[in-house]
Amino acid sequence: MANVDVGPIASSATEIGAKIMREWRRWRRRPLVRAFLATPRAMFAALLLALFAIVSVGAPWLAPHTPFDPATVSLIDSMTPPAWLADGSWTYPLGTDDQGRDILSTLMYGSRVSLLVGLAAVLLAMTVEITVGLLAGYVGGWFESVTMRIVDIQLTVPSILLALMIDGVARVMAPREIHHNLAIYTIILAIGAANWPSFARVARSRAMVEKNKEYVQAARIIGVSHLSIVLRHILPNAMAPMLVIATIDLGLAVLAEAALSFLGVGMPPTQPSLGTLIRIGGNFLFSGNWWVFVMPAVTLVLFVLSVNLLGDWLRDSLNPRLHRAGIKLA
Amino acid sequence: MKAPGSTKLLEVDDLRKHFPIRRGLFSRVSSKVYAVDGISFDIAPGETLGLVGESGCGKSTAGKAILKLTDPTSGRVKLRGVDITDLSPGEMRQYRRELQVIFQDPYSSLNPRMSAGAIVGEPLTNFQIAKGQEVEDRVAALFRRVGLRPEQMRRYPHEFSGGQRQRLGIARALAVNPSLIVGDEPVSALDVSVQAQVINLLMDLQDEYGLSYLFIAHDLAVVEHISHRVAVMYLGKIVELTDRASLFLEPLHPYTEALLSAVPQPEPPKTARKRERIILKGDVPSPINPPSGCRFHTRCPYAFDRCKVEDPAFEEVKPSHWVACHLRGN
Repeated sequence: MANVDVGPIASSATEIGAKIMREWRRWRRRPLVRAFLATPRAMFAALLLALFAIVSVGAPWLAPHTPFDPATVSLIDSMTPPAWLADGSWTYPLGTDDQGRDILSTLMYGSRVSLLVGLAAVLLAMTVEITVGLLAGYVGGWFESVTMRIVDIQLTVPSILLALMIDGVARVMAPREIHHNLAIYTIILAIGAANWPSFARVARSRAMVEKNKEYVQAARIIGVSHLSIVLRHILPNAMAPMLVIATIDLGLAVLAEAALSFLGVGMPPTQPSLGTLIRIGGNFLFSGNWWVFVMPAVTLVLFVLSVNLLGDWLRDSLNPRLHRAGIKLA
Repeated sequence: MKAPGSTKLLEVDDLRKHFPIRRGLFSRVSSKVYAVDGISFDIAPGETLGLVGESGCGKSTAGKAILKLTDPTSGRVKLRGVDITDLSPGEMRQYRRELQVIFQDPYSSLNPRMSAGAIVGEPLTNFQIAKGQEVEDRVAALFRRVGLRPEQMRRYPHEFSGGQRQRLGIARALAVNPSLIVGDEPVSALDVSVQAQVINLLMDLQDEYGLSYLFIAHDLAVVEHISHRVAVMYLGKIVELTDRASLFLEPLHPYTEALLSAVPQPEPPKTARKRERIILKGDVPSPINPPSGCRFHTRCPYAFDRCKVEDPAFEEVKPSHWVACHLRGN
């Protein structure tokens, strides 16, 4: 058989393909990836989370209806049950609420808000408190005592109470008209503040362990500044447990947001999160229109469950003491 | 071996490091650990001074105090005649280049999250010795010099063996062209065969660059091989200091005698001229409550009344042979 001349473009394409395969094989051999591919539970959770992420980011394009545009909503369709029940319609697969809004679409937009609030709150908590914790552990002395006592005090205040307080202050300070626009920032701050202590404490203890290792002393000998030591040497080595906390805290933050919204101090009905949707649905729970309540509730449960499953798996696989034979992590 | 020069590179004068033990409500200093209690020695350019002693005798603390990793309680450290004891970190920076370190543990002395090339290149960028491609070239040259392949620059510390990691530590210390390297038990964590390779590398580097070493170790065979002069430490003090030949052939301090008798001989003499094995009674006394008089009197086979009350002076009893013992002094 004659050789087929594939030409420069085709051959470079196969080269790139081979390179990608090589990288993939190398990557697959990495311990964390291997452990991941060997745990169906973790893969299931990751798949669900990926779905949530896609739906949340793509809600404006993916949602079948635009539920918060009054022009597209018709009251005639209100309280349509889910499609598989009698009187249901595939126009509204999961049914509609009291104002005729498509529940599937409200869920997609609601997940978007919940995820945004959760991620922002966790990121806020992480950046502020990892900085504080690392500095406290590295510097030590009175700085450590003062910051850690503040963190202790923060731990004694229940997070919901703290959130209610911040929300209350924001309500008093901001005029009624702009309060709705501020709600998302208030709630991010409130939930973030409630999550601070866990990061600060772990960051401090990690910094205390790492700073006594010889590579940190070696860095001092070669003239690395204290700031660079904390950022370039200690932080990367202290990151693994933080990621575990961040994952688990994401679930907690979304739950906290739902709780606040359920209590009516979270996201306003014009921009509902999953919690707001659950609160609205609660009104119709006993009138037979259960789907308005159950759909957002199940969505929230699925989301928090998958975050926790992934977080637990990450914690187990990053903990060297729980390593099973054959799975070693660098 | 090159003959040591005459002018002093490093002078240590009556260096002390006491660690306070704090107890009670107001952190009162209840007692002190006399880790290093008045040691003096000097090192000439191109010379290796071995510092030996049992674990806990303060040899590592002495090394750290010289490197300014801990602040000495009192005493002076001079580098090329310049007093560096009280320099601020900023002023110390220019002397950091002269004074480098190789640590004992090749596992904790390298940052596990940095590639080998980045570890060796860090001092270069830090002291602005080189940048960009030049860093790369210099690191490659350093890799070759210490017996590693430049292709290994992208690897991470856990991919190297213990001996290779120690070579990385040596390359990092060499990067800034130091004049003195403090080796804090640099080979005691390695296999015997690897020890020999690393020691020969250190000796080759000394010949090539005229380096001085302060070689801290507990293994007398290793110290005999590499040192020009040897200082023997016991409970925070130097008890004997002389050139290698005199120390190993005619030790003057009873403690040195006992230490030497514990070194296994590769070929024990068949005749009656067998070295007598001196076994010391008891343990090293606590450095919190060192014995009165001569610190060695509790375990010394020759101790007499004067030893219990009077601390022997550190005297030059023979040309360049210093001993602290009432048996030898006046």
